[in-house]
Amino acid sequence: MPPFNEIVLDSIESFDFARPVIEFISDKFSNFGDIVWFIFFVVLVFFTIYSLVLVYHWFRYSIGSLMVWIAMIAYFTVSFVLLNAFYLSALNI
Amino acid sequence: MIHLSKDERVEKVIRKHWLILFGDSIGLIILYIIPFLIYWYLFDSTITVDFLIDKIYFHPSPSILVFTVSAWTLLAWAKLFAIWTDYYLDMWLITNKRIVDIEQKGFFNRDISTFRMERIQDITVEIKGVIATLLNFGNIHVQTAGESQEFIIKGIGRPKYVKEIIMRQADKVAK
Repeated sequence: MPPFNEIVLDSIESFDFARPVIEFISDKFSNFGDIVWFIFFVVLVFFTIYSLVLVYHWFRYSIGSLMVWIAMIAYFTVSFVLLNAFYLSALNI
Repeated sequence: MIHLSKDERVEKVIRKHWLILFGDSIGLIILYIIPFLIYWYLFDSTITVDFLIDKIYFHPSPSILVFTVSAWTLLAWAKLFAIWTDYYLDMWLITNKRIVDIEQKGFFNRDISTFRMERIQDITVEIKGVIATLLNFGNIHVQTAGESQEFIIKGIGRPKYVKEIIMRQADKVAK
């Protein structure tokens, strides 16, 4: 059996609309850096808003501050590492 | 925040058993892993690279992979903590005067119900199934006198011990 992506790509190319779509994408990909940064900022904004909502709920509704601080440290430590990888990879694209 | 009256104190804070959290998280974990499995087991990366270069004139690099994986992981991580927050903020407070049932239904949606100890009439512990028995978690059905005659504390650990705490507080109030 051929690889899954070969089946998918052959199926895409067999459709009549595939050629203009592929040409459209190839035009946009000439400015790929802008697309990457657009995706970066969309994810960053979404993550920031989501995190603010989480922190709000932790401080507003939790009982006992120790678990809240442990959760925050764990959450933002891992998030910091991921954001760094995300940002550095965007720089290198 | 819950406001306690002058001579009221919290005897016990109860949350759902950790297995409930695991059950809520497992769907997200599977969803997170699926793209990796599809990529590793079903994709021939040479075909994908040839397609991207020949058709879309895009030259992939390892940075693209890191970019995609880190974005996907970041979003999954945030969602995982949302699930944990929902689990953590669901709780029952047993005070010397009442039971407060706090149910967090997602963000900005919170239900708080209060049941006074003197209205509690009967308590039933329910532990169903092999896993619940082995891990000692279950439900507590509390019969009350009033408009809502029964409320259920679902999926808590050591339900018999919790029942004893409630009974003890109810007996103290009744004296």
